[in-house]
Amino acid sequence: MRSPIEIMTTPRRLTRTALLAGFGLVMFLFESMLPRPLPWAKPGLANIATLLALYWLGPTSAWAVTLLRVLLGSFFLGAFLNPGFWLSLAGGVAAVAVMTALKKFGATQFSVIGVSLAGALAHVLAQITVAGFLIVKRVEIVYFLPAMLWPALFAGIVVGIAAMLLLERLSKMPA
Amino acid sequence: MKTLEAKTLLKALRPGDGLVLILFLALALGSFWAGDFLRAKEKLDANLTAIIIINNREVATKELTGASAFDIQGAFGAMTLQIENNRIRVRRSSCPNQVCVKQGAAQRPGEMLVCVPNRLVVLLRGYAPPLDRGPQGSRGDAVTH
Repeated sequence: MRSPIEIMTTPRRLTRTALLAGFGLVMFLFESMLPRPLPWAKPGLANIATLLALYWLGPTSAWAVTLLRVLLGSFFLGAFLNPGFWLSLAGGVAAVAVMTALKKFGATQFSVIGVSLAGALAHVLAQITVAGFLIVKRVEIVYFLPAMLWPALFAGIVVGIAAMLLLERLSKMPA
Repeated sequence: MKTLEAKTLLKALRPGDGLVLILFLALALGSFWAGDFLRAKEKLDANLTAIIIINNREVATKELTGASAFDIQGAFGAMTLQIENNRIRVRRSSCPNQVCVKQGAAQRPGEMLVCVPNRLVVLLRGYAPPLDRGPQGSRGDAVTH
């Protein structure tokens, strides 16, 4: 069993993690510029990078990709330590935790799409919890849950399919 | 290179995926019904307020009482909001597609009006047992004795 530091410092893995972190960051910035028919919902394309990292490089890389994206994304948008940053962090951490656990304990039970969907669900639940305690502070927040869950359902499936197709191609890369 | 085929995707699915999907749907539907249930318990005539948000910034809070109309400046141009019969709607908007005007009035807590070009969101927040207040929902400034 190697330590996370050792895993990360394998040069090839480190490089690939950095590439995926960059990819996730670009997706995050790209979708924050897209027009949003539902202002509170984003497709979560950055989660493709986390999924790729998780399946291609392992959980340590997935955590690194997610945390770097949240942190650097907030720097680029000038939102560091804003309410939006905490929502982003909570969602990201919850999603990567759930996805890592699902992949670890049920690799044969869940496909990438299922894992992505679970990540989307965790993301929404964490965000609404943090928003409820940090910002709105009222029980009316539950009214917002369906409005967040329905878009997340479709986004989670689309992101999962995208990640699955990309992983198929990545599997042809030399390990 | 393989193209995206429904068959390939279906073959990749695992039993756990269905479980996740069911859980997801249960929560989405459950929260929808829970919201309806909570709304039904609220008094719609008391303290129903509209929170007017432009460009992610809260610019005004209006109680939905009486009848009034007021102008606001959206990100795209001017808009007129109208309050009447405990409801609020967008009466006039400068935006091209007029979705917000056609959307009609919002009257239930949790409902919202949205105008994307103007970056406007009007949230209705109503009377509900709040997490951090007394049962009357009054926001006393302080208790001084």
